[in-house]
Amino acid sequence: MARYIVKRLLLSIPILFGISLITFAVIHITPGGPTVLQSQMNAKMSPDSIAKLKTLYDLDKPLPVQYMKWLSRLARLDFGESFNDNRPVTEKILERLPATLQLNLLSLLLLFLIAVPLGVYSAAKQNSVFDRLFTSITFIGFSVPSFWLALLLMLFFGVWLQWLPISGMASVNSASMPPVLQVYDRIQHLILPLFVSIFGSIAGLSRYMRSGMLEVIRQDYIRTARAKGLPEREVLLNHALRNALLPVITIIGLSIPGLISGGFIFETIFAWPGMGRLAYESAMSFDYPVIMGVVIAGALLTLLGNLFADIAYAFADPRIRY
Amino acid sequence: MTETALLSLKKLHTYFLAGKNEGRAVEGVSFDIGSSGSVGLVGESGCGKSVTALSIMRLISSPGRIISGEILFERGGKQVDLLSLSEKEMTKVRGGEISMIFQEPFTALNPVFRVEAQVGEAARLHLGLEGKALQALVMKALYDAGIKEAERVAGSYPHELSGGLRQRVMIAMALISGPKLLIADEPTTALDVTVQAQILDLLAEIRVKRKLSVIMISHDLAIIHRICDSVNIMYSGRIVESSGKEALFKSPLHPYTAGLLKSIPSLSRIEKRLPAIPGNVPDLFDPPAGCRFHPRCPKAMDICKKTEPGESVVEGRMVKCWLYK
Repeated sequence: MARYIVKRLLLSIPILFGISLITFAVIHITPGGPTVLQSQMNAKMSPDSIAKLKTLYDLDKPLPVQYMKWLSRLARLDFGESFNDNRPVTEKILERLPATLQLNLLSLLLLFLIAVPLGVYSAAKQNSVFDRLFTSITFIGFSVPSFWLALLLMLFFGVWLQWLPISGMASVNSASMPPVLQVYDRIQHLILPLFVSIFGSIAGLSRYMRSGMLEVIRQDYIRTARAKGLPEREVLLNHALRNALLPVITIIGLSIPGLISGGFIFETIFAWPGMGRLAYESAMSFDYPVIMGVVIAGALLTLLGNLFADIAYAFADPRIRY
Repeated sequence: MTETALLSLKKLHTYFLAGKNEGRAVEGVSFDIGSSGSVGLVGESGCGKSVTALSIMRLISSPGRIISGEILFERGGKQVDLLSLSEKEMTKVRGGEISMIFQEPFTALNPVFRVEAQVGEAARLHLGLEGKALQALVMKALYDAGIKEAERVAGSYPHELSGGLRQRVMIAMALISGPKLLIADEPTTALDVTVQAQILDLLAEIRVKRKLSVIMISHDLAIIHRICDSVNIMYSGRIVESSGKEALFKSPLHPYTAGLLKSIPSLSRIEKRLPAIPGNVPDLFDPPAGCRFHPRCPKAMDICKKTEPGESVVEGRMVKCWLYK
């Protein structure tokens, strides 16, 4: 097992390398650039000072040289400095990481806690009214775009009903609140972003769980469990669920990149101070070092998530040994 | 029904409903099994043997349904109709009083649980054992099922065991709570021949030792001959011949039984081609009129095509065939 983990970690180095190369190429191919943006804002800017800016950012050098420079700094775990405020990229990311992790880990947890029982119940009551209703709702959940749902919920709960805040992680005056109210304030700010981030995934995962259960229920060993005299509840929750959960582990591992990239959109909509919004902001202002940093950090989280899922799979399924 | 019958099926009907059509998988099956008796159910695939067995366990799942009939089982000195029991009461019967083993030991064990847990489960449920006592009983059950390395097997997962060992585990699991009746649904079909023989020896030995009643389901008459006292031949959802073992093997009454016996390969009777019964088992949704066997029967008469034969008794044996009217 230890050998397998080391192997996987070593394998992720070339993957990260490839990701960085492609990202680097794509952001430099994109029309526009940091100097273009600054000179457009300021009509008085002379061609001379633009050239100076380019030298300052190393943008006058050929792309391969720029990439090698970036890579050599990365080898020393240095992501460079932001073009915008000259602060180290690492610092900017670490400052945003907790917000993203908080949202994503809570999303995953809630997703699992809601989708799995929904799917199991729906499978146990196959073709019941609940099952049919559930099937229609999941199709809606699957098809609704999350940014549209986010705006609609903000309008409804934030503007019309004024029940929930529509942006940020906490109220402006939260520092002056007593601790209990601070927590309450934070939870209130979490509700809409969390709901939007998992709504579509709940539909997908519970649907998957349902078909997984239906598949497992037909297996011979379920008949054996019934023939032993196990009550149906135990047959479903013990013998069937353990087996039906195996593929779900993989699905959750695969959904980590989706959660992180989905964050680009709804972190921006909800002004959530996480990595997704940082990526969006830096992309809009052609802040190359920050874009690269965020992409690498996101890729790293994804690779680690997948590795974690594979390890969990080996623990859950005795037939799999690495 | 005789006084000593442990289980007595009376006109069992189990259908599979598909829209307006119904597949009559079991149609009026009746037979008795006495305590420590052993009865064989024989027939080709699709003749209703397994459905009969699963009906006794009440494990028929939708779209299958037990339409009518009685399954009388002796519980605490009284005859109880299993079909009238609540589901909760039925879980006490399953595994506790009637156990079942299946054809495929490869798929009949849950892949994610250790043998110990799967075998022990039945004893936990029916005998209320836990901890050390449960563990000891599991070891004994495995040992009684002829597993010498009980310790190792108990800690293994099913995929780590051979087919023969898995079937022994199934047997240990079925017998751990001391049931009165064992239903064995083609228990050796998926095993290779030498292992088959070992498993059959084990079943024969256990049956005598524990005074266990056994319903043996098989398409293989040789296996039936080894285990059973009496034999029921099934065809298209009904029993067409019911007889003691020796008489049946010596002089089969029904042409179908005769056909089955003829198609047993034998080393002393080397032929170019093994005789087989021509044609296939009838479609349950669209069975032929009259005797269900007439399209394949070498002795079919006009009446066979029109009217279904009733029961005839010949020398104490039951047969459904116009030849004996």
